[in-house]
Amino acid sequence: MEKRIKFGIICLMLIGTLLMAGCNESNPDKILSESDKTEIKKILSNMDGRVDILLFTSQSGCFSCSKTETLMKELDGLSDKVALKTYDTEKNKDMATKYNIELVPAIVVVGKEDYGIKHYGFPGGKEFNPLIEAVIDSSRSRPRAPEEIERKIKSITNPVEVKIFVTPTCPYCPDMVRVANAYAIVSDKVSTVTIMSNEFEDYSKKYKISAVPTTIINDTFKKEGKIEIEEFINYLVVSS
Amino acid sequence: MDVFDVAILGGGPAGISAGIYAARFKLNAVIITNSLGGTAQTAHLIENYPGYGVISGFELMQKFKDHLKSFEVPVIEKHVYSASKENDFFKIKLIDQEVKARYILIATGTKRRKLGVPGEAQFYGKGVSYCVTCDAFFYRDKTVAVVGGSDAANMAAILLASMAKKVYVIYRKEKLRGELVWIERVITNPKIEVLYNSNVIEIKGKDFVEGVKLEDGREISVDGVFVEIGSIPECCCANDLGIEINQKGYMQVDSSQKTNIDRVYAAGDVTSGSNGFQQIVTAASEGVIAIKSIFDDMEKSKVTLWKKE
Repeated sequence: MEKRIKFGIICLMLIGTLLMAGCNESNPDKILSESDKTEIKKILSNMDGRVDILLFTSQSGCFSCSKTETLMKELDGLSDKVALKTYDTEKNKDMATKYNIELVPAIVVVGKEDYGIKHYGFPGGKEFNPLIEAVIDSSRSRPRAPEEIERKIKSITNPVEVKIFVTPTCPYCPDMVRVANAYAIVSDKVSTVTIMSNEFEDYSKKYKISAVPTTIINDTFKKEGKIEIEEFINYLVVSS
Repeated sequence: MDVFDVAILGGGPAGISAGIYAARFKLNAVIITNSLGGTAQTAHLIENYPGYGVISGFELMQKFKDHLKSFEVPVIEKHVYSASKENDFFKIKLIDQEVKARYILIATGTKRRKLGVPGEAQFYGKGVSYCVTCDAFFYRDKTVAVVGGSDAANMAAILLASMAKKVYVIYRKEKLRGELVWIERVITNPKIEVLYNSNVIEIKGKDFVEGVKLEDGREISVDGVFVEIGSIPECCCANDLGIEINQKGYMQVDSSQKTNIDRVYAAGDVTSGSNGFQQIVTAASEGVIAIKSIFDDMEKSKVTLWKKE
């Protein structure tokens, strides 16, 4: 039977509602419960190789830098294959420039290769699952997509950046992030940035976002709502 | 081609419950769905699912999914394009594969009903929304309208009132309907104003929504419009298979959840079942009844359980 995995998407249904508590405005010392940790540890055991989580924060502080750092430290402790590296954007300007960090906190997932997966904001609510999935996918070698899609991917000759605006309470958003990340993983030309709109109001206003998920490709193509994986490749090809 | 005893089309409460029971009956089942969890995931709060007190739709459906996962029922997350009957099997066409099954259980639920007024499509994503849990955040300290008067509309208004400056509930009838507990919270909320006997005939604006025009000529300035006017059944494959549809557009089923077509069953919001009372609890039970009926039918006809080719 064909696996339900759509090249690179690992469907994890275990974590679900974790971190809803982490969506509050406070900066707790601890975010994950012991049972959350057990569950995540089990999921991370599916990792192949090592993955670096690059966390960018700001010395001058930001809305969720502290609690994002707490969460990433907890994640770091759940697998030997996860390594957290924290950078202050002001002190480490070269790294911030290298990864084109526009907002903080920023999380960049770098595995066997840099697949180009970035997340702005506290990855709470429904957005935690796609991030964990990205960590697992990044621990593996670049997979091949089905033949027809692989052919279209090869026609993407220029870099394509996909921005996905989300909120932590949007049930449709994680699927959109998964779809975009799947293409980032199979194509070295595609990169993704997930933006928590609730944290970055001005940034969202700049892109005139009033609904989520909204996907913007190369700052030109814009579409609200979920885009199916088979349809999405056509937008990537046209935008490249 | 993959061959199953039962193809469950739909992954909401009916489909997932059916999947769990299919596994317990040792049926070789598959769930084919656009979105595992279904539209129930978008419910802001669920206060009437026994055993959970107050729980969000997302959280409840996550528990459904976790439960399903423990049975390792295969899930294909793809759109169903068509279904056809070929001898002893049904052939279900997906974008890049076909699935064969001896029985079909349709649990495709409903899709959101649209207002169908000028401006609605133009301003989708620019002030018009069908998902309050997704987009409420964008209307902090703004003025919004909720169109509708059912439980979903009432819940939307309550959630929006926690963020927005002002919420209009625009409803075509003279009193709100649904659970009294929600209605009471709406009418006692100082930020919510209900406009009864009112119909939206146009959504207006330039780049974004700026207001709505009502049938009586009034124009109300709002920054966003949340459409919560119910849903229409997603009768997947009804024409392909010749399934009887009732006057309201739902699949006609008997007390065993069987449609008029042999080996085709339906469950959940897409059906005429449960006296038309569309709830998560009734959808879940219809899914379970359907699977039991399929199992009984297989036993009766002494069908050997079909195994994968």
